[in-house]
This record gives sequence, structure tokens and C-alpha cells, in this order.
Amino acid sequence: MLVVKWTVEKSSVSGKQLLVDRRTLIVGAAATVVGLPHVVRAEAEAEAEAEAVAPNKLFAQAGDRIQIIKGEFKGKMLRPEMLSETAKPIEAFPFDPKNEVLRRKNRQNRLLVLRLNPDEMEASTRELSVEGVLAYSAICTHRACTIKAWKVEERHLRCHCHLTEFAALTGGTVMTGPAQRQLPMVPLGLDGDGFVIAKAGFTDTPGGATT
Amino acid sequence: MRVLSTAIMALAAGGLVTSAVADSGGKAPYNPVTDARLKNPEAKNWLTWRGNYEGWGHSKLKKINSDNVKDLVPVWSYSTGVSEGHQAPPMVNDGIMYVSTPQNQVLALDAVSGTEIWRYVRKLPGDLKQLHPTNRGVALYGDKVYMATVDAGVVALDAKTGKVVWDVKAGDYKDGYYSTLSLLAANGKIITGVSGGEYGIRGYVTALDAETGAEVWKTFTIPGPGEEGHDTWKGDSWKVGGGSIWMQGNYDASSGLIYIGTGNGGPWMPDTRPGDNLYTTSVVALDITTGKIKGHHQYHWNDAWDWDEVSAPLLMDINRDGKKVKALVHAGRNGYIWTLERTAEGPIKFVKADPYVRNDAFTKIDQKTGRPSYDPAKTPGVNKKATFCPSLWGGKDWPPEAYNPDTGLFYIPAHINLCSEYGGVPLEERDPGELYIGVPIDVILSSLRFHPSVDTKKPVPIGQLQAWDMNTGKMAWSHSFNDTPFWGPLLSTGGNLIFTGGTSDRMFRAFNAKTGDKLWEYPTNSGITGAPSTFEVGGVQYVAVQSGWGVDAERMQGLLKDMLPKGRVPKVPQGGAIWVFALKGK
Repeated sequence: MLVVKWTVEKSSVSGKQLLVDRRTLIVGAAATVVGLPHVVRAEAEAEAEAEAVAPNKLFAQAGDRIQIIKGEFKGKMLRPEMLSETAKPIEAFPFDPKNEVLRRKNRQNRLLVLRLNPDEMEASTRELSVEGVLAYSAICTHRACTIKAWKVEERHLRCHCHLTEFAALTGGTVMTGPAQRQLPMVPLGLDGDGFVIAKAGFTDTPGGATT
Repeated sequence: MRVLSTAIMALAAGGLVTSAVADSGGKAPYNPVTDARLKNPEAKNWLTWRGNYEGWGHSKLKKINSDNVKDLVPVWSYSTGVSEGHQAPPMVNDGIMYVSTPQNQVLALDAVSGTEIWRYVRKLPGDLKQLHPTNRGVALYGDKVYMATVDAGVVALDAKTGKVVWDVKAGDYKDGYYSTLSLLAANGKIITGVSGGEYGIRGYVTALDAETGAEVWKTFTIPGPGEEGHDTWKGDSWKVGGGSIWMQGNYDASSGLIYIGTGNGGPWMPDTRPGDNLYTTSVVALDITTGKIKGHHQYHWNDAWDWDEVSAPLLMDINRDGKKVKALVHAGRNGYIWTLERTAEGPIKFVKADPYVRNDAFTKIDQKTGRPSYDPAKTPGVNKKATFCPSLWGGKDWPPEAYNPDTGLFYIPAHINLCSEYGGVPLEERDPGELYIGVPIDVILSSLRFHPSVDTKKPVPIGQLQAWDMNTGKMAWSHSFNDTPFWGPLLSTGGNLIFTGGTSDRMFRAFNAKTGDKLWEYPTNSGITGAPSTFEVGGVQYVAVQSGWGVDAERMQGLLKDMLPKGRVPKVPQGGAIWVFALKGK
């Protein structure tokens, strides 16, 4: 696998000046194919974070663990073996291990974690997974509803509000419905204790559209 | 008077105003909207959401009529710049049009040319979710324009400039509260309300001082401890019991009573909140001066079917056994036309209930009280699935009915042949601001069913425009729309016409009000879920409507796509526009 380092500072997306995450990100070669920038953050948000945002409101950060908030493993830190390829996505939030806080005060941090067969994933999606585990933003890019539904055969995340479907095997691309933007993801890795961690922040700003 | 001074935020903090025509708003005289004008609205204007306080959706204008409507043509249209459900009527005061859109914009336009005078764009919070991305209309009152917002606020704008006069918070959007209703303006007050029944809220109506935005009164739709009706709830269920306010109330200016419809109980499963659950799925009479509940009628108790009774009843006089009855008439989501009698003191009396679509969950209606009895097999619960008709969207959802005093007919935008199947699961702990329904979302998204009598090999009547004679209780005519949802608010005119859209073929249509014959149609940019209006400027009558598909119309369309053979359910493009029509050559 070819490994590249990105240290790009600025880019323009949809005519709006955005700031690429200042941290250096190591990504697989396939990610470069889909083009810059995978890891972006609205300038105001990034600056605010750098200053005085409480850790429980910060967007997911590199090194965060993932805490499950519902179901059998509620309150546990995510490990790949907690998920199976036949199970529904599980609701979670990033957890800041340094300050030992769940970043739940910012609802845009809400995640859906799931496990799929890596061989079925698009290469650029696989690069953001670890042992088949993927973490998608649970906030619909249409009107920011919390995504809860799952179409198992298609492997689509489905928003109940206005029925947009996002393909989990292809980086959350929009398959049907009114959303215009794919779902952001959190690139995943494993730490030395076998916990799933964020390798970087969201691939794009989570949240709904304004028009 | 309790004043929420801390809630009054800095001017312009909540939005941006752009003026497209230099100074035009500031120099022209503005005709203030007074209580007297609202009580007796002039035919040439459209000053309220339904044209009058009684909620008729009727105009006396008749230059456009059933003889010449075939010559109706568009004279201008204007893109709103946003997508989703455009449900608000274009409101007109002496040639200036005011229109609200999704994302809480307000546009002020020259009603004849479509030239933009100003546009207010609300800066909505980045973490705001929108289950219902829409707004149902502004209020015009005094020299201001008022709008309720999806982040549970109310903003007052200067009618001439669009500048923010005040901006107040009426609820906590982070806890699931939001507002999509148009606002009632009367008696120096602006009346708002909150939605969020799917998020575990406790509904309420709030009156704000029209000049300052200060809270005058706030009345919960679910009584608290010690209040009458509280004993219809068990334990703490009242704290999250729903009773949303989705729609503007109608108003009897002579008695000072507001009649407002309330949403269903929450969470959805009835056995999670045993009891009648007052004042959910009801009409409530509120004293406009104090906010006190002076009367109510609960259409159905302990709802199990998501049949919010969101629409306010229409105020009209009907003949009953040779006597005039000051009536309240409501086409219920539960599939019955409810006829009630209102009193100046407040108490509401049941008169009768007639089914206008198939309801298989009610076994009978008590003829004295109007209280329905239920079929347990048609009543879902926790771990109990049931199939029932009409569907969770009911016989009629939010799109408003209309009443024409000339024909004496009451018009209903109905859905027929649709049913639902679902059951609940044990409740989890409430997560503030997140869904709190008690029915898995996957189940809701696959819950729509056709009635067993439907043969999907043939075109399926789903939408139905109905006309009812309220004096005889008989249906006068109906017009069915096949293979399509019908989410069209109705406009009635003195020209013997009913205007509506609502279908997936993007059409705006006119029907003969007496016979139901379709007289005219025109394909617009998107599907029409906006309330039409009509007005006159310079001796010319115009008809206006917003086209912009979204919200529940789109949801129903999305589910029908999987229920009908491929190719029968078209894609409906999104993106809003205002359309204005007039007779060719006028």
C-alpha cells in the first residue's frame, strides 16, 4: 500500500473557503484517487475548536475511542468483535480518552458504526475502515435528522425524515432522496489495546444543508 | 403579565435581510393590518393564512370564474432558492406580497410584477434537525410581518424594510421543540405553538405581545398536576405526552376564543400512556386574553394511530333541524367529519360525526358525547401489531379544507384506500432531542398498506377531493387522483372555483365548485403543497401559489413507489417557486 502524507492547508469546496484539518493525516493511496480534500472543517469551527470549545463539544478528534450509547454494549468502548456483518448499525459517539469525556454535547458527533465485508467495499471506503468496521456520521446531510434506519439487503443507511438513502459500501454516497451530499465518515484504526479509534476527524463537516 | 426580557435577542442576530429594490420599502406608505381589517377582510387582499379568522380559505373575488378559468395563464414566477415543502400562502396587503418558505425565509415582492423588495433569511443553528422542513405562513399585523421558526422562535419584521424588530425564543430546539405553523394575530397578540410530538415534548400555545415579543401567556395542551384533566394521565407520562401544535388556530372575534387543534399523544403506543390523555387529539377553546382553556372536545381518546388532529375546525353557521347552529366543522385525521357547536362562554357541544373515508378502528360513536369505541384488533400497542385504516396520515392530514358560503359546501383534500400496519416496542430512556416514538423507525417506514380491496394492476385512487353539504350531511361530489398522494391545500372563490395542487404530476388545478368538474390545470416546476391565495390589484384578479414538493408528501410518495408497479410513481423534482396567474390579456 502506498502511503502519502497530506499537509494541505486550504482548499475551496463549493465556493466556500474551508480549512483542511491541520493535523497530518496518513491515508491509503485509494483516497487520493477521489481527490482533495477528504478531511475538511469549516474555518470558523476549526478556529473555535483550537480556542475554547469544551472537549465534550469538540468534533471527533484523532485518537478518540468510540463509545456505544445503545443496546447490548451500551457504555462500552467499541471493539471490532462487538459487531457482526449481519447486525444493524449501532449508535455511538466519539470518546476523548485524554479528558475521559464523551463528545456528546455536540449532536453532530453522533455516529453509526457497523461492520461489513471489506471485499465488498469500494476501495476508498475500505481505507477508512478497520477490520470491516466503518463509522458514519448519523446526521443526514439533507435536514440533519438523526439517521436510524437500515436497509440490510442494499446495505443502505436510510433517513426516516425524508427517505434519503446512503450507501454504506461506497462511502455514504446518496442513492435516492433529497440529500445532495454523501455522509461524512470518521477514518478508523485500532489502538494497542484493541479498541477502535478515530485516525482523524470527520472526512467532511457533519450536518444538514441550508438550501 | 410575565415578560421574558432575556429571551428578546439582539436585532438582526437571527437573520440577514437583503433589499433588492433600493428604498422602495421605506418610502411607500404601508396600510397597517388592524383587528378591524382582520375581522372583516377586504376581498382584494389575502391577509391571513386562510383568508379569514374563521378558516374558510374562501375569497369573494369572482372575476376569475368557472366560465373563464380556461384562459388562466401564468404572469410571473419567482424562485425561492430553497428546496423542501413550500406550504405557505402568498399573503397580499395592498399590492405587496409576503411569502415564507422552508429554512425560514420571508420574501416581500411586488404582487403584480414579482419584483423582490426585500428578503429575510434566518440564520438557523448548525445542529438543528428538521423533521418537517417547512413554514405554513406569516402573519401580517400592524406594520409588521411575523413568522414562527423551525428553531422554535418567533421573529417580527418591519413590513416595509424586512428589518428584525424583535426575535424571541418560544421553545428549546435542542430538546425537540420546533414550530412550523402560521401565526394567528389578534387582540394585540401573536399566537404561536410548538411541535415535537415525535421527540417526547409537552405541547403548548404561547401568546406574545405583538409590539415587544414579550410573553403574555403560555398554556400547555397537557394539564399539569392540579389542573383539570391531569387525571387523564398516569404517572409521569404527561411530561412527555405530545399534544403538539402544528397549525394556526381559528378565531371567533366576537367571543375572543381561539379554536386550535392538538396533536396525538406521545409516545405513539397507547398503553405507554393509559388514560384519555387530555387535551391531545382535541379542539381546545382558549381565551385570547388569558390563555385559559374555556372548552374542548376530544375527537378520540388515547390515540394509537398517529392521528394528530392538527387542523383547527372551521367556524361556520349550519342549519340543523331547522335551527341555525354556530358550528365548528373539522375533517378529522381519524376519518370523520366532526360537527360541533361552539358557545360564547367556551364549552363545545358534540353535534354529530360522519365518516368521509373508511375507518375500521372505531366500532361506534356515542351519539350524545361523540366518544368513539375502539376495535382492540385494530389498535396497536407495545409488542402488539395491528393493521388499521385510514393510514397514519389519516383521512386528511394538515392540508386545510375550505368552505364556500355560496355553494354551502365544505371541501376536503382526502386520502382514501390507504391503511397502516405497525406495533410498538418497550420504551427506551428518552434521549433529549432524539426520536421518542416507541415504534421502530424501520417499522414505520414500511407501515403503509393499501386497503385489501385495492387491485394494483389498475390505477389506484389515492387522493380524493370531496365536497360535502353540511346542511344535509351528504357528499355532493368527489374527484379522485390515481396513483398519487394528494397534499393540496384548498382555495375556494366566489367565481365558483376550487383551486388546488398536491399531486405528483406537478399540476395546479381549478375545479367547478358546484359540480367537481376539472376546468383547468397547469404544470409547475415542482409538486404543489402550498396554500393558494387570490387577490386583486388595479382591477385585475390574480391567483397565487407556491410550488415546492417535500416533507410528508415526499414521504408518502417514497413509500408508494415501493407499493405500485414500476413506472407508475414519477419522480417529483424539488426546488421552490412562487407562481402568479391571471386571465390572458388582463
